[in-house]
Amino acid sequence: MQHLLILDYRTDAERKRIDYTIEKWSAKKDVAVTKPKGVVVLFEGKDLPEFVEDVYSRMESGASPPKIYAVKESAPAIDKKTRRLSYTTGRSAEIVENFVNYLLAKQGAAFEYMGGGRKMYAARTRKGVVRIAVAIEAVKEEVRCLIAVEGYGEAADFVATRIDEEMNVFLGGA
Amino acid sequence: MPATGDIACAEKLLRPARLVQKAGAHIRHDPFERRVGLWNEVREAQDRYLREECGVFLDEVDLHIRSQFDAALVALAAAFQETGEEFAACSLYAPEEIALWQQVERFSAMEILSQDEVRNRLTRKDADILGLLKAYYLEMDRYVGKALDDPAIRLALRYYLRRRWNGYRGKMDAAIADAVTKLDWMPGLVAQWERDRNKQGG
Repeated sequence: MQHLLILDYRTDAERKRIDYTIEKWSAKKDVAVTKPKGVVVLFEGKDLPEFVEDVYSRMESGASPPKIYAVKESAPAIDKKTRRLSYTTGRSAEIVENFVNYLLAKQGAAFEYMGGGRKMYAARTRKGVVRIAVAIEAVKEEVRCLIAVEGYGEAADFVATRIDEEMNVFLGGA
Repeated sequence: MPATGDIACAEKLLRPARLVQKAGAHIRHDPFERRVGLWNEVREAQDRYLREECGVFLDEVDLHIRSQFDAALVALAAAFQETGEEFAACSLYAPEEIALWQQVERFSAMEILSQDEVRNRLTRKDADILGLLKAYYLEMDRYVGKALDDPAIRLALRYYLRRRWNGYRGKMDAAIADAVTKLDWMPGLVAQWERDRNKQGG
């Protein structure tokens, strides 16, 4: 069964990443992925024959004959993955915060906003886009740092693993 | 609402933005992660300021402070664009905003040159200064003037660039007027620029 996907994008870079993904998947043996050439139109209503006739009449001869499918909306269950990292240290909140800022900058993560005691960041990696929430709080003599990484596919694991490795090296040296 | 702004608090928040502004276009030579770090620092400080952590300022002061954050962020966005690095957050600034900042930044030499120094360089027929004055005369003043009235460019950024541009153009106008009376070859050159401008449809 074929599925039609309509993927919206905001920037040319985003379109290129979609193209790259299509190319990557079209090389797989057990799937057939193609990017239809031409204008893709979703039509709903009873006047389909009239619409098709009108469109045909405006097309140059020689263009490939239009392909028409009857489709129904499908929403495969794809959930975001979240990896939560938690650290406790005797180092000061300021030192931990500076290190986390450095780590996030290294991942190319951009500050978005803060609220509810957390700072939110977004990062784009070769595995996909992730959102990162960071909360640092002093509890008695210790400082707790909570980092949640959320994304589709392998992206969350990919970024969380990199952050975790560096955090452990940093805190291990305390 | 009464103005209760704590200027020392705002100055503290402005530190990372000032650091970026001091570097200007040269910020592109800093490593990628350093620029991302600065972007985040400025964005966070901007967020804190907008949440009124430093209180409320008079409108003019408020616009000035906000313009400093935007000036730093657009400089960083321009740097990411120039180095070809992908940093999605810089799409916060429209291409026209980045282009306007870059065009004004081209004239940053005017920041450090006095009117006398501009004239001395003109006397020596310094190619860099002549190039800048020609660009100013032919296209820039109209382009910047138009862009600074463009509502698509955020107000705080327009405010910042207008102040900068007005400072530069004051020096350039004075230098050209002075050179026309003191350098015998200058009136001919300006006449040639005029003809070029007319040809361009100005």
